[in-house]
Amino acid sequence: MNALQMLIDAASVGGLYALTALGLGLIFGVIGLVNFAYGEYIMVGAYVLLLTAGVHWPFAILAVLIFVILFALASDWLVFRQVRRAQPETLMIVSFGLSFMIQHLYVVLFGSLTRTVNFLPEINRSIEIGGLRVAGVSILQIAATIILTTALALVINYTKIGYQMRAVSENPRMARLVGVNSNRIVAAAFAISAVLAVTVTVLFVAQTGSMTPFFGVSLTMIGFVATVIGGLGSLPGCALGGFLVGALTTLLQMMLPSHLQPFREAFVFAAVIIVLLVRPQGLIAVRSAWERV
Amino acid sequence: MNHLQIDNLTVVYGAVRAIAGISIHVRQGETVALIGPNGAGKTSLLFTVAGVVAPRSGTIKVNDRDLAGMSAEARVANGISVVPENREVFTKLNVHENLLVGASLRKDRAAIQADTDRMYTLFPRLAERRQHMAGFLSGGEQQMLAIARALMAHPKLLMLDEPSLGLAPVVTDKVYEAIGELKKGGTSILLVEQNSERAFAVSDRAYLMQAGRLVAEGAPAQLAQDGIVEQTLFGRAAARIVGTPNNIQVTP
Repeated sequence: MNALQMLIDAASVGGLYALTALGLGLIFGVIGLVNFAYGEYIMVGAYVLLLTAGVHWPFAILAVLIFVILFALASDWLVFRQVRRAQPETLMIVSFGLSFMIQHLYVVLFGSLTRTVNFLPEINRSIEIGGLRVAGVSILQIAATIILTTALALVINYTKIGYQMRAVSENPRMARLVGVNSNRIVAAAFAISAVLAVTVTVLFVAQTGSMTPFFGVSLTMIGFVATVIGGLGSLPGCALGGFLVGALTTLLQMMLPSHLQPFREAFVFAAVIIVLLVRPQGLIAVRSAWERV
Repeated sequence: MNHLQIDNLTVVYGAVRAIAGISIHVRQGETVALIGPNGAGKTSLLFTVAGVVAPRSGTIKVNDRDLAGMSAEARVANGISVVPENREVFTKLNVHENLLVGASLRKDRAAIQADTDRMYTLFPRLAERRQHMAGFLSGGEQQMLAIARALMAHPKLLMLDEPSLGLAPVVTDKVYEAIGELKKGGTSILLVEQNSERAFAVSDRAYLMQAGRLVAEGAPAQLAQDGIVEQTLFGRAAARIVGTPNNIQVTP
């Protein structure tokens, strides 16, 4: 395996984590919520893929998309909107509670066994590009990361919903005082984060073919760590952080001697701690304008 | 029918009563000053009318329509806008985006474009700075932006909270010039100020407020002569020291 091939693998996993981190970072940016239930959007989506196993794949993906968006909107409407003005730590605990509740509801309904599904086996086939053998899913992961990150940046920076989101993010009360329907803007942020979650679900399930009621949590944990090292509240920071954590995990997997590989995460998190010791504000600190009175 | 009719309004924060049974009104096209020291409850009153603070009791009616239970966004749609103390411009948005956020409730792109152009004519300084992040503007520019942002929603009733606070006199002139323009255009204005001299110069009527209650109401000229303004703002003892300037110019 040569270096370029390793880089492609690292980039594809990094991309998956970057998308996870972006979904978390977007909601945090708009309403200050660290949404641990985000992992449940990913997990629930995977089970919808499982249930729609026989269905032609575009319809299966459409079903997941619709279900997860509605699920995310419902979580906002039924839970988070009720505690909108609470402290950030309260919001985080609420999202923890929601996350646990959904996981265990799943265990009650479907059991806690690992389920497997053979979703889109075609994209796991390797393709040869200029002498490199690359898994199709890696290419998809990298492409999805580039497309969605760019699209999100364009929406945030250049559309009406984008500047309204930034306004709500900076000063929710003032945004309402100039007529921004903040509930609708927050709902839009949840819907966009659900789209990112669905992308992660589809790529993850296509690649691994398996799921447990708890796999969303581990992804969210990594995504959360990524948002913190990238700079909480900065979307480019989230993407960068996710990318670095994913890439580092993959590279360690490939380069560590085999007896150390089970402890791969220890090395990843040691690196995270070092980054935070050196740059506690994250890699990309949130740019804030000077206050002048 | 008064444009704004507030009856017996009481606002309570925890154990603190910010407003204790106040009744005021603003007629169509009228400019009304609300004067009082810090902590009098002026800002609470504006935020209650704007819909981000809930009253304990009392009614607020706009054109005879009771606003109870109406969201802040819906009140903006009904022609009520507020320019808050400290401007509260969106510092991470540029000047132009701040104006566009002010037009959030409107759909007609061409009309919005025409309105931003109108704002840039009204405040040429903002035109020069349209691509700058609002957080980098000076206090006076931020005040102009905050007013322009509110105007983007086409308010029929505009509430301004201490628009001269912390501004140099020249800049305050600019801001009051704009308020005068709005008044001429027929907008009803509720103007909260500590700078009573400035406020009285543009106002048709004035209320004096202290510790959540009204202490006086009347024509600005009358209130200015009575010396009651100084008493309200500075206390009875200090009023004698500050004295009563009888050179206030009042517009008819």
